[in-house]
Amino acid sequence: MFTSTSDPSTAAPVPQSTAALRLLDVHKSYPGPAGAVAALRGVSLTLPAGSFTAVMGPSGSGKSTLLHCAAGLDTPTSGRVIVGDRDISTLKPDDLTRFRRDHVGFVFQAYNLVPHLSVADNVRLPMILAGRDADPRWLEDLLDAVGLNGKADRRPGELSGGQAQRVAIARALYSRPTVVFADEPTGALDARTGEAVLTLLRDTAHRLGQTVVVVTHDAKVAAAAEQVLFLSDGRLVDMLTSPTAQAVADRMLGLER
Amino acid sequence: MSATWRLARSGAMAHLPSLVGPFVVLALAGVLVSGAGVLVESGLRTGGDAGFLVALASSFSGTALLLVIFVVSSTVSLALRQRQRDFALLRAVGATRGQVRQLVSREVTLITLVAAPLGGLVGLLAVGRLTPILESSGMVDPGFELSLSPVPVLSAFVLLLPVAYLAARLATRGTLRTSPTAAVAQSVVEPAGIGPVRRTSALVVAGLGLAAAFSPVFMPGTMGAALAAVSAFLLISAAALAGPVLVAWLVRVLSRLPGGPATQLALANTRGFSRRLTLVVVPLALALGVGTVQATVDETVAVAGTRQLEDGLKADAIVTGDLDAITVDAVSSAPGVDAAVPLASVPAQVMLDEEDAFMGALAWEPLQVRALPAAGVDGLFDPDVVDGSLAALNEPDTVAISRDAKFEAMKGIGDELTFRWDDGKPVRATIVAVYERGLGFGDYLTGEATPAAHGVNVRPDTLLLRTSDAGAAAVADLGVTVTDEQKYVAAAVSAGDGQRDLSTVLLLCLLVFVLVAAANALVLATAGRRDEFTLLWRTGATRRQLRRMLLVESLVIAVCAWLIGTLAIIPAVIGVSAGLLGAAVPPVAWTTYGGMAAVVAATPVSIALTGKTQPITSQ
Repeated sequence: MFTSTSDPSTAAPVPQSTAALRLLDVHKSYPGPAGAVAALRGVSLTLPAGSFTAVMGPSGSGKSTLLHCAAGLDTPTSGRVIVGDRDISTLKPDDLTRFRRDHVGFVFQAYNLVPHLSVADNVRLPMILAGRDADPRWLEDLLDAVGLNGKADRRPGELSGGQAQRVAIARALYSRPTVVFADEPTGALDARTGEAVLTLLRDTAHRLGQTVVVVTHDAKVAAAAEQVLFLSDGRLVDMLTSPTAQAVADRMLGLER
Repeated sequence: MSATWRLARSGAMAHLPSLVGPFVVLALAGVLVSGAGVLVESGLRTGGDAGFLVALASSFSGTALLLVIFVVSSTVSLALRQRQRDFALLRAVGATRGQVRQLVSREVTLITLVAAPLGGLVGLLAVGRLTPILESSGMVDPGFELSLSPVPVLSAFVLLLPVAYLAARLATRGTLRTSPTAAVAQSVVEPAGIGPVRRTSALVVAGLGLAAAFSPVFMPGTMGAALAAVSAFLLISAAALAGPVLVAWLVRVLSRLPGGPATQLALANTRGFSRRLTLVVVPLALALGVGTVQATVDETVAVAGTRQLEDGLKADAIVTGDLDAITVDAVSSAPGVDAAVPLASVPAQVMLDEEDAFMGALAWEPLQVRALPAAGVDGLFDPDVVDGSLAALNEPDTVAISRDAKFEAMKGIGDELTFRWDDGKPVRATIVAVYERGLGFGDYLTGEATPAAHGVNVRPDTLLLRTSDAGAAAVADLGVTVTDEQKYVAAAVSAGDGQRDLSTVLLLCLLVFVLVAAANALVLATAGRRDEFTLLWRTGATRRQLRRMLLVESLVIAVCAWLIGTLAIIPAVIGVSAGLLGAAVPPVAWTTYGGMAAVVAATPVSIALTGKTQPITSQ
């Protein structure tokens, strides 16, 4: 079971009135050998700022596609994606990239760290690419927060899986983005490490007032979220607020039947 | 230092092993470019007699440049291919496409900055070794010295930078076109098939290649032959463009072969990575194709020249040597000699078009002009006149030209060409006849009157005789060298051997370059697969199976290269022989072909046998 260590009354900033993320009738299809294959068939949702949402669904239900489209890593075939107050579905690829590195954080299941850069450089990479001045204090604070103080000069190859994912989380949070997405961030980790990493993501994001969306397979992980969205066959089919692991597992069983 | 420079530098440092390949190839390209540059420059600076050198060096530079561009771009492309995942990852983290392009461009610039001048310097020094061959081929006078200046080194750099730069841009194009997540996924498996642009260009280049191969049928002599020699290059370029489809098809055919698990694995690999395979196959096919076609074309031109000489000479005996008027008279009046036709050889320079004058020394083509006697050739010398008449050559400032030269100059009877005789003053000469046998008798004929009018002391070096055996014996008694037609032709043909040796040496340099690049490509392609080997090893493949798998792959590479190279040769061989020899068995340079085919097979196999298949067993 997760036990939150943060105290919401002191850390959470006042939620903004605007939604952090809105999807309006988003469709996405990929070209396949026998015509287009639809991965998303009209998904609409609104996530308030500062919320922590889990997305669940059977394999092939479109979870990752949803996350990639919402994060601007992929462009929807139709529909709109609005991050903060910016419609990103109409941006040109390079403008989208620029917007993404300032306003969107992404934690990949496979860490996706650049092997030849140090931990510090990996965390700062989006800002280096943006040509921003480094803020050594913020970097230090963040590395402290994810429990990597003193490891700033290590290379990703010298880290364990849990540590590598902590670096990836620090990288996702470094630009103080509007929304942080995580695609099965604990998928490659053992249960205990995964739990610790997820707690860290949730608490750090909470302390910074950030909106988090996590795709997961794990009912326990989903139960740590404020709400769970269920995806099946490219559509949002169900939703659960203040979930428990049992309730999540029951819904999933229903979907997979 | 800006952030992108820092990323470029640390990226280059981290991928040093995979950058060694492009570095070596760029340095070698630098050697070739600056070497060719030294030859051209020396020829230009020496002026006058070194015109042959300029002509040879220019044509060598042309082929060398084509190869350099091709090989450098494919090596850079292969080296960057290994890092597609890295670039995709950077994009996912927030690098714009422009930034990735910049990163790659800077890395490539860094390498070229070091490799090209280094190779250029080596080329500058190494080309001095050619001086003895240049002298023995008669290209330059004894005691000739090459002019060494920084210009060739600089030009190597100036030429190679944009080539490497463009290749880098092209290599990252695919990664940058797709979305970052698709790019991360794609870098693990290659997309099948090729786009419409690539398919269309492959068809166009193949069409051009075929047209070039059969150009000797429409275009006379050396021009058509030179174009045909380019055809193998064009056809292999087309094969490179169509590579993924072509290689996939070849492998599909091969995969019907039975074999153990290692063989099946190897065939599956070659199917899945047809692009990588193409980049490895193409330089090998290029070495086989270009080498064989060049040698075959040279041989065919020599055969055609011999045949034209045999057909055009009707003499019973031929006197050679430096012949003064007294000797000519003595031979002519010898008993048994019915007719004697003295021929002289006069050095001259020709400019085909006065609009070329701005090119300075390059506009003048140096040559030996055959001068015919005023009394006519008496049927002993037949260049096969197709238009006009040789009799008109008795007027000063007239010339007869071969169909080759006519085609090249795009002029006909009554038009004028500009010549420089001994006195170096440009004078015009009117074309009065066009003849067929240019490969045997040279591209220009003139009467004695023309050079004589410009202060040339016309001294015959050949005397064609109509005589009996007894007459020939009587002439030999006069103390001059008498040969029969067969020996004369053989001697005339072997006079070009020195020049052929030189072009063989130069061709060899090019082939060494291509082979190093091919070996390089193979090593690069294997080095990028450590993860794959590890994965296979973990899944249960034994080391022996991995090694066997690599061996089968290398055989597939050799077979593909051999097939593509051989197919690319055939049109040129048929075209050249049909154009120059008519219906005849094409004189293929079998020795070159066999040698190159053996090298093409040995290169991938030996690299597979020595390559590292060691999986990463720790961690």
